[in-house]
Amino acid sequence: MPDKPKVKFTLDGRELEAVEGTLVIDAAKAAGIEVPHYCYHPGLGNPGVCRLCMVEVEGAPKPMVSCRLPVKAGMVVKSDTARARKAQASSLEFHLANHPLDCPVCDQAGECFLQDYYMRYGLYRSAVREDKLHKEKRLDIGPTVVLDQERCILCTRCTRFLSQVTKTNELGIFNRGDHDVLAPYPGRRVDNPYSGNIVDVCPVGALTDKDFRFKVRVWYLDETPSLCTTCARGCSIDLHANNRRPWHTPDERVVRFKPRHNPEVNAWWMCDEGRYSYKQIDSRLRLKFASRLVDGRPEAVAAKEAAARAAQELSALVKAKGPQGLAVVLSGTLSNEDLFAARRLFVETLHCGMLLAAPGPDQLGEGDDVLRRKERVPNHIGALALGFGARIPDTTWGGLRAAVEGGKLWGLYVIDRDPLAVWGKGSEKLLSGLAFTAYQGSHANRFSTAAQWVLPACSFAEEDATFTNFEGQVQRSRAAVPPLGESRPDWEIFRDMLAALEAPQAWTSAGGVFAELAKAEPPFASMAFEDLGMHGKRLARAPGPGSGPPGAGSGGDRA
Amino acid sequence: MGTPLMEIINAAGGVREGRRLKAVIPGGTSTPILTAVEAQGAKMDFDSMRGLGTFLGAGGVIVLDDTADMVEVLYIIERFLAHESCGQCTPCREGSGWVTRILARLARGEGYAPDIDNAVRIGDNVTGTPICALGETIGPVAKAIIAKFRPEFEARVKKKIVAAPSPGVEVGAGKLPSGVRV
Repeated sequence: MPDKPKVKFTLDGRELEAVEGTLVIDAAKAAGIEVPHYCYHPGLGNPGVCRLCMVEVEGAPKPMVSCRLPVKAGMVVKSDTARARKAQASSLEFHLANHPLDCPVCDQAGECFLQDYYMRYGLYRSAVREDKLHKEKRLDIGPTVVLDQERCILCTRCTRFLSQVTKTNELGIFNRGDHDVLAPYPGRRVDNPYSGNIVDVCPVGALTDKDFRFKVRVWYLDETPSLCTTCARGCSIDLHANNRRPWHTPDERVVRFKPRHNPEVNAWWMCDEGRYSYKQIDSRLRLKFASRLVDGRPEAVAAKEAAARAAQELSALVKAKGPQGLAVVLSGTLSNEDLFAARRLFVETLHCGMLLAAPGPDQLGEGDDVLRRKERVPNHIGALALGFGARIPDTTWGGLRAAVEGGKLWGLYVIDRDPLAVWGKGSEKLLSGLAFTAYQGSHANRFSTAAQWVLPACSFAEEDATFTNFEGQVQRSRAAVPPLGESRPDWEIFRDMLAALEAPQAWTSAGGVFAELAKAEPPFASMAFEDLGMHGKRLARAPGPGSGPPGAGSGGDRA
Repeated sequence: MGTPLMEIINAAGGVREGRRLKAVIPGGTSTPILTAVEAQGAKMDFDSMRGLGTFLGAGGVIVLDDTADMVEVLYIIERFLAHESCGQCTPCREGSGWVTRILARLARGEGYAPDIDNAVRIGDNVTGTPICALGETIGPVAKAIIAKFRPEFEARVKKKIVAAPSPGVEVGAGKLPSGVRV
């Protein structure tokens, strides 16, 4: 609404300014006043069915719902008068009339808007003496979601998500009056690639996440703002780690991802593939310690020593056989800092003969027009912005294989990818002609078991880093849990290798690497690591085509 | 328009032989009830009805004679409204069902003394909050019948109940002790 004028109005005695037509509930939120609400969600519209966000408007005969009330000049709104509070309390009383008070066994407890609002605005003594209505308690409605119809307050957020965002319409509200139930349409299951979002939008415990429910109480979780690294969208997330009650989730420290509102990237949503990718962080495949193959058996080497020795071995081979025979496989899973350090090491110092950085068939998947991108790496645009595949020529998996088969290479350094999986059965034989093979990465794969050197890198959840999404949005990941074993950020491994090659770098933190990167690379010129904030910043010129996130409308971090 | 209500009732044959007029619902179940006395002077026009705290509604006049059990009458009306509620907005969906279940209990003779005021309170809380006019009628209908025929409701209350808890009264008292994180 850029053409509409700003007008003055009064809210709870404060003179405020808002664009004419802004919803009062949004204007209140912008001023730091939360009007309790269920059905309104800035990304899903305002049907005005829960009747909770009642405010008093001077001159109006009865309380009004602030989610359907546009701001007008001179309007006087009160959200905290006895009359408004009574209307809100009475709405809450109605919401609770048939709601089972099974909070002690409800997985939503602690992040339930019915609990929170009731404690803040509700009645403390129940007047309900009737039996509560009973509906289905445990409906398996899809691969990710369980529905409890009794807890449902019929706010329609989930049905609107499924009709407006995914356009799949699996859920509907059936019957009339207080026999209303939320249920899937006959023969349908909520099995679209975004099904987990209906758990996020559900303000109560009606929809719970099969994967997360009963694992650990939410108040034991620590939240770290980060981003999802599953695809090139890089959805903003809150990473929830269970540091305080580890015995509840002995196999995993990070227990779930929740999408975080970012109007520049993902609006309020994320896909299921990304949501459950948290399992990678504490996966059994994680590499924890460095090793070197001796007579076909891995022998443990201290991580720092391994980096130095691998670098010296590389340097000797470069001197003996020339840099043309060294091929390096980089990955879009590396952060901007890692790629910058990799460039310093492999391109500027070792002058390697062959590079593969772009996502190949191993890093491509299904894309759609909601969020998911075909490129299943978070930073291939960052690689492009740093010159990989642009001024630094890029090869392909086929080109690399041909070079190995043609005997043109003596060394192969692979980061976070698996040539053997791409080249298929029998390709292990190809490696026998190479004098040097190294794998650096966070997870074991077929190549890591065959490579002479294994250098463990940490997960994005364990490091501060930046990633550049497909639209050029540079976002931060933040260390949420400590690195496993001796795994380290990739840039640190490269730094130690550079030091062993007598090209020491003064890098002590990812922020320091980024500062040098921003100075050297014009697209990053205006950025500072600490200023990227919660939403990130856009590259000066984005190398890829762009389209905004779906349903990106008016603001608000949490609905 | 403006025809006296009694003239309409008489034209239709009046109350049954040997019965006395008890009450009249002037415009269908959603309009507040009139006692026999109020009906005597009522004219069927907007102003006269408004003066009596009711309205013409759909114009379907319901005449009740002295056999009518007003607890039963209110229960049937509220049950109808609950049945008609589409369930979209919360106060109407929950309020209509709740009042109906309270009245069903009262009608069965299992009511508590506070139920009567609680039914009125719930109705009042619905009034002014729903999306459409169906929900708006839940409160006024109950309020009028209970106000005008309260002794009948009280007579149905279970005698043995001494101190049932009073309905929630701490409206707006939702202040938490400081330091509590919600």
